[in-house]
Amino acid sequence: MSDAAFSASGSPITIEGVQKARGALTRNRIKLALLFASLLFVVILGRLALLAMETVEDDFVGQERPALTASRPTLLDRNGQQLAIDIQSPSLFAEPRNIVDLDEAVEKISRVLPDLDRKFLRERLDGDEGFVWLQRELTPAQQDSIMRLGLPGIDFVTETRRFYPGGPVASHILGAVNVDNVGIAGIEAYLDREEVALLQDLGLARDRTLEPKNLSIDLRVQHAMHRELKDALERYQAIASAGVMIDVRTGEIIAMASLPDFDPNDPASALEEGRYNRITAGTFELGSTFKTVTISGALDSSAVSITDRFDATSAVRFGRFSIGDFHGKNRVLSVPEVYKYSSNIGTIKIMQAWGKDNYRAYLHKLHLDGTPTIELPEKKTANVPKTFSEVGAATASFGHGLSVTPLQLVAAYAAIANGGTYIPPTLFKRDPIDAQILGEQVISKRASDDMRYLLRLNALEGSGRRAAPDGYMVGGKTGTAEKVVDGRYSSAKSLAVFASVFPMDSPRYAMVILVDEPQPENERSGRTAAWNAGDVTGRIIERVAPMLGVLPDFDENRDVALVPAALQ
Amino acid sequence: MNIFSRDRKTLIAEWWWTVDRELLGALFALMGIGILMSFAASPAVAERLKLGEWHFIIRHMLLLIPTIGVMLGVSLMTPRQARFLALGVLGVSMVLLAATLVVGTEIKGSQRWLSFAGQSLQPSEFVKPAFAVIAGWLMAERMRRTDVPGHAITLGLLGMIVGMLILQPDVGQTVLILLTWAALLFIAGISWWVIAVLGGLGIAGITSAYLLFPHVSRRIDTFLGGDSGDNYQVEKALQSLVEGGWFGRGPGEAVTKRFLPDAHADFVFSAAAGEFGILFCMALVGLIGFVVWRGLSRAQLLNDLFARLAASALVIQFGLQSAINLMVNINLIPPKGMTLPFVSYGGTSMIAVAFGMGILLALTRRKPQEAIASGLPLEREALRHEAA
Repeated sequence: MSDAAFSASGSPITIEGVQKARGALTRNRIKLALLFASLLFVVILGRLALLAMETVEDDFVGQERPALTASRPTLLDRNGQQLAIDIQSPSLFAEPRNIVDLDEAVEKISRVLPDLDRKFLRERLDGDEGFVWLQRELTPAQQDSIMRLGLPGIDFVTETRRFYPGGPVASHILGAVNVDNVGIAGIEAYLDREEVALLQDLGLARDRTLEPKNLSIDLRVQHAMHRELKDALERYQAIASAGVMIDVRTGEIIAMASLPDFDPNDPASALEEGRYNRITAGTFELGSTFKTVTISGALDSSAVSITDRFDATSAVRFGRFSIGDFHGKNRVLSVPEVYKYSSNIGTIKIMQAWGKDNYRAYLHKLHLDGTPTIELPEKKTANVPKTFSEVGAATASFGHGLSVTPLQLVAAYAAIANGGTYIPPTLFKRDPIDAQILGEQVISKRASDDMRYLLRLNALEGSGRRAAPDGYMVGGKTGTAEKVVDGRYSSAKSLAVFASVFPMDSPRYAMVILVDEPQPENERSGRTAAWNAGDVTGRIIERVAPMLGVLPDFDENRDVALVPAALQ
Repeated sequence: MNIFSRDRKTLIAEWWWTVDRELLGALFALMGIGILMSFAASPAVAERLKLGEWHFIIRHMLLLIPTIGVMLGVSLMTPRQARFLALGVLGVSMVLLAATLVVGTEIKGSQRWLSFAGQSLQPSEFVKPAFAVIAGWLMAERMRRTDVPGHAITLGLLGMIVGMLILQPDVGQTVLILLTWAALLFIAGISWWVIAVLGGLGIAGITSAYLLFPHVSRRIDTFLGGDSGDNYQVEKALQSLVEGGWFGRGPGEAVTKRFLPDAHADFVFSAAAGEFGILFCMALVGLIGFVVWRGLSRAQLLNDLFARLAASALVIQFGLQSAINLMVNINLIPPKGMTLPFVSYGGTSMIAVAFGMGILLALTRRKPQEAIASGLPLEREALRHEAA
C-alpha cells in the first residue's frame, strides 16, 4: 500500500498527502501491534490464573500423616488400670527431592545417629522421592540433635504406637494393632469397626485424645487367672488351658484367658499354631457340665421335680448303642444323686421325661446354639443339631454330640444360677440396671434355686470337692469329654472342664475352666476334670474372691439354707 | 525544586515537563519490584554458589545506580543525539559481539560473554536496542526518500547480527532480533503478502534451528515430551508457582525456589511467585503490559516517523522479551536465555535495557514545536492527523 503511494509520486520529493497517508498507516499498524501484545499478555495472565487455581499436592500432610498419628482410645480395666495405651515417639523422615547438599546431610545425620549405615543413608537420601523413612522411633534427645542440624528436607513425624503394659495378660481380649495402628484382632479390631475408623475418617481422631474406654475386665482377676492357667499348662502337661469368669448379675466378663497366647506388643506372635482364643473361637464337647443345663431345664418344666427318682440300674440302649455310667451306682437315683454321681443314665432319663424337643428348644433359649454374643471378632458358631434324634438327644443331655464355646456355657451357668435370667456377656463395663433390661428370664426362680442347691451339693459331696475352697460357697460341675481320635472316643486324650459359680447362696460370679489333654499331675492323681480343671478353679477362687468382695464365711447354716423345701 | 522551574529553560526542567512521566513511573516501579523479588529469589542461589546470602541483593541494588543513570542520561537527549548514540553503541557492540566468537567465555555450552577485569559483558544485550533504533531510522528514511537503500542496509545489519548470534549460538536473542525487525517492517506498512512470506521464513527458521542445534532440539523435545528428560528448571519453576497459590507463602516461606538454579536471573518470576503469590505476579505482568501499552500509545502520537518507528520497535522489543521470559516461566514455550527487563539479576541486561528505555523516553518526550504547530495539545493533534 505504501509502495503504491511512493511510486505514484515517482520522485524523491515528499508530498504532504503522502506523509499523512504514511502516518495513518503506521499508526494503524501500531494499534494492531498493541492488540497483538494485549492478546499475548491476556494469555499469560490466564495461564497464571490457571496455575493459581491448581491445588498443591502436599504428598505428606494429606496422605500418610493421619494413618501414622492416628490415635486410639486408651483401654482401661473396670477399675481404671491401663490395658492399652498410645505412646508417641518422633520418627525421622527425609524428602530427598528437597535435600540441597547430599554429602552434608549424610555427614551430619550419621554423626547424630552413628548406628545408621552411611551407605544406606546415602542411598536413601539420594534421588527425587518425596518421602522416605530414615529411622523410626527416636529418643527426644536424638530428635533435638537432628533438629539442631538445620538440614532442609529432613523432618519428623510424631508416630503413635500402641503399647500394652500387661504384655500377654489380656492378649486375647485386647487383640492387637498393625503397623498403621489399625486394630487387627480383639477389642482393638472391634473398636475400629465400631467407631475409631469412623472418627479417623472424619479427621477427629488425629491429634485429639479419645475418650478412654473401660472394659469389664478386672486386671487383678485377669492376672490371677492368667497365672493359674499358665501354671496348669505345666502342671498337667496340657496342650492348652483356658478360662473365663463372668459377673452373673450383669453379664460382664471379669477375666478371660486362653493359653498359649501371645504378646500384643509383638502381634506376629499371635500367628503361631494353636494360639487362638479357646473361650470364644473354639467349640468343644463340654461333657458332663451340660448335665447342669439338662437338669435345670427339666426342673423348670413341670415334667420333672427335684424329688423325682430315676432308674439307673442298667445302661440305656439305642439299637446297637449302649450308654452307661462312669461311676455306675446301678440303682434307682434321686435327681440330686443323678447330678452328684454324674449319672449319664439318670440324665438321659430326666431328659426323656422332659422331652427331646423341649430340650432342644431350651438350648436355644439359653443361647447355647448359634454364635456367642461378644464384642470380639474371633468367635465360632456352636455346632448343635437343629433337631435331635433319640440317640442324639440322649448324648447331648450329657454334653456329647454337640459342641459349643466355653463362653456360651459360662453365660448359661450364670443364667441358671442368678435366678434364671440370661444376660448376654460383654467385655465393656455395664450398669446393673442396663443388664436387667437386657436380661431374659429363661427358667423360673424356683428351678434356679434347685440348681444352686445341686451345684453346691456336687461341690460338697460330688466331683467338685477339689474345686471348692472352704468359705466361698463354691458350686460347680466337672466335665471330662473324651476327644474323638480317628473317629473313636479316646480315653487318653480328653478335655477337662469345670464350670462353677460362687458364692452359691448369693451368686456373683460364674467361671468355666478348660484344660485340654491334661496328664495326671502325679501317680496318685487322676486325669478327670476334678483333678485339673477343678483344682485350677479352686486356686483361682481362693486368690480372687477376696479381691472381688466375696469374703470367706464358714457358717454351715448357709449350706443348709440352700436345701429346697421339698427335700427338707 | 527550582531546577524543575519553568521560569528559566534549564535542561532538567525541560526534561521534567516533557518526559512521559507515566512511562517513567512504571519503569521505576518495575525496578522496585525487581529489588523486592531479588530478596525472595536470590539468597538461595547465593548460598548454593557459596556466596554470602546478600551477595546478589546488594549487587542488584548497586547495579540499579548505573542503570538509572544510563536511563535518565539517555532520556535527556534529543532524538537526533539518541540516534547518534544508538549508532555508536551498535557499532561498538557489534565489534564486541564479533569478539565473543574469538575470545568469548563459554558458559553452559554457548559463547556469549566477554570477560575483562573480572567483569563479564554480553554484547548481544546492547545490540538489541541499538539495532531497534537504527533499523527504525533506516526504515523511516527509506519511507521518506526512496533513494535511501534503508531495507538493504537493515537486512545487511540483520544478517551480520543474526549470523554472529547463531554462531555463539544464542537462539533466544536471534529470535528476539528477528521479531523486532519483523515488527518494524509490519509497522512501516509492509504489505500482508510480504508478512505471509516472512512468517513462512520464520517458521522455516525455527524448524532449522530445531534441526541444526542440538541444545535447541533437546529443549523443544523435553518441552513437548512432558516431564521426561531434563527440563528440571521448568518443572521446579512450575512447582514454585503452584506452591505459592494466589497469595503466596509469605517472605522466606517458599521452598521450591531453593531448587531453581537460575532463581535470581531468568526464573526470578516463578521463584518469587512462591513467596508473593500469583496475584502479585499478575500485578507485575500488568505493569509490564502497562509499559507496552503506554509506550505504543505514545509512539503512535509521535509526528516524526523515525521517532515513531524506533519507539515502537523499542517497546515491542521490551514487551517481547518480557513475554518470552514470562512464557518460559509458566511453561508456555520452551526455555530460552531471556531475562525479565529490570527485574532479573544481570548487569549487562539491566544497563542495556536502561539504554533502550532511555532512548524510548527521549523519543517520547513531548515536543513543544509539535504542539505549537497546531496550537492544540498533542493528543488532539494526532486525532486531527488521523481524520485527515
